[in-house]
Amino acid sequence: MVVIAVISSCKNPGCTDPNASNYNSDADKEDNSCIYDNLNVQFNFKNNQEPFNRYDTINFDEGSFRVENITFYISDITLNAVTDNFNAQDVHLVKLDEPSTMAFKVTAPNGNYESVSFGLGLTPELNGTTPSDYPTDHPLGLNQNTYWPMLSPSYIFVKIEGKMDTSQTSNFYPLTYHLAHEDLFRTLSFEKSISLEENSSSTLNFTINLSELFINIDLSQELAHERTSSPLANQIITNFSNAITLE
Amino acid sequence: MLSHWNKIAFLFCTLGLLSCERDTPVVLPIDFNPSYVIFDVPNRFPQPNLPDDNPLTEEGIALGKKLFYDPILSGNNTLACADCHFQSKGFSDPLAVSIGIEGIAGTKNASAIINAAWNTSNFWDGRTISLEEQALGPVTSFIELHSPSWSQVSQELMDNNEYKSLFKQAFDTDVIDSSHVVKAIAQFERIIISSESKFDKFLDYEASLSPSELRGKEIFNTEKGDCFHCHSYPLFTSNLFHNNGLDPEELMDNGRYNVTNDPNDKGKFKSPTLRNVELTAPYMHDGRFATLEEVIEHYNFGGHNSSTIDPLMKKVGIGLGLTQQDKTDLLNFLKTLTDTAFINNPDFRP
Repeated sequence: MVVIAVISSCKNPGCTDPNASNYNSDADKEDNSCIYDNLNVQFNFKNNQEPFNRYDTINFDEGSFRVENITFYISDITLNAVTDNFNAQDVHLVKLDEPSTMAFKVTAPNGNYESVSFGLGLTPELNGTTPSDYPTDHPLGLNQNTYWPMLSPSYIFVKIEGKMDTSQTSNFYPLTYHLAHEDLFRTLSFEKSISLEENSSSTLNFTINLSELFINIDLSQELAHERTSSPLANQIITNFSNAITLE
Repeated sequence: MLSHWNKIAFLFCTLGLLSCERDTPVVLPIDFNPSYVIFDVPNRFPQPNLPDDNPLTEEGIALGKKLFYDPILSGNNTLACADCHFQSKGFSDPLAVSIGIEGIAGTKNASAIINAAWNTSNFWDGRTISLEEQALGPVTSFIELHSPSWSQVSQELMDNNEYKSLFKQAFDTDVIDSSHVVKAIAQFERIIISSESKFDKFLDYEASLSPSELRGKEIFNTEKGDCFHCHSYPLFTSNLFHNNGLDPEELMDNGRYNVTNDPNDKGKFKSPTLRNVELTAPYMHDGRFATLEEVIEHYNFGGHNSSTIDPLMKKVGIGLGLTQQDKTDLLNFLKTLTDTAFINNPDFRP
């Protein structure tokens, strides 16, 4: 049996605009609290000047590398101004195979900034958490498959996976670099005048030039997870850091 | 005893006390009152993504279990889901490929149903995303349960007074269709959770591992055995698709390619969970390996190189170089993933 009852509903105040960064789907009363993202951050993979996609190949003196997967963490995004800095306090996982993850938005106070910096990898605080602390689809969640749970557990800050051919005979073999642990965390800074004004947004376009990935890399060396750091790991993270530029 | 109208008046008055600003008319089905179940997330497991349109209820789970064990879903009422997914085998099938009601063999090993609530896709090729979608296919597949049509299955269930009542209690419906059936089965599958293996107890300081098991754990979780990339804790699956070098290029099964049509996905299959792996023989998508020893030997050999071999198969063509002792240790560790409470859980029995 069904009856039509009169139920009383309490109004839930909050931001009711789905375009706002603090949109509250449970809110049914606009309280003028909406905040809008005003900074777009974009990462573009390239091989020199050419756009680079999953399964494309990087050619260099010692061989060819067919890239199947690149992921890396961005954390601690900070806009630096003369008087005050703004830290976005968030984390993003950028993936070569998912274009939607290569760009994200930040809500920052309006003003003039002189530079932007971010962490390549995870801050010690974030790296001290585990996937069970997050929903499965969160950048740090279980479904990302970026956590190594052994002694000295760590998220994998940068994953580079593909197949290498060093014989010029199309004899490709698997090659994987997983860069983890806090000593490989890098802070990258870029000077750039950024002006954030009301009712407008700015875009930061970062380029990752993968042609620089294998500079001074000894391809005969294997990079093992259990090492917290190694000259090879440091060289790769240095190359990856140097490959990132801000247009 | 309140009269019929007094009951309604009482309901109105009670609800009126709760109002704070505005009244909104809402239709309340007062006879449908399922018992909602809070999903019990095991220690160290993340919260799974549960569908909003199929909340867990005691009635839904019980109905799903009954359907799972009932051959009524098959064309000739002889085969149930449970006949290819045995609890004692971690809800897997000991046959390399399952045999349907027509006596036709399938082409893939029936996947184990373990911690399916965390699945991001189902089947070896990941062709369905939700458990509800997964349950749709086998009922009418001619190599599986081979019911003539879902409408005939629905009619048979509606002709059964017990099922009529159970569907009414679970979904408040008098008209049973495929969506209700698969929702119920999915609810039951979501509570089939294994989280009390010896290894889990070891992590909880409730059990100790032998020296061999501990060595095996190290082999599993380091490049020495390199198992962890695709089978990491707590689910012991990445939920991703990999070509683990089972076959050379010319003999590869299409695998994930059948779903994506991307040549880069040929030979790739979803990595299965290794929880209860001791019980889920035979192994691989076609059940080609009868024992875990054979599986370990495959990885120790290194697998076959191909254009789609997974980059994580770093020792392809070279091999892992495990000693006999290493292999024994790894095997002993894998056996610590057996969960006897799970395979004996009365909640999962008919």
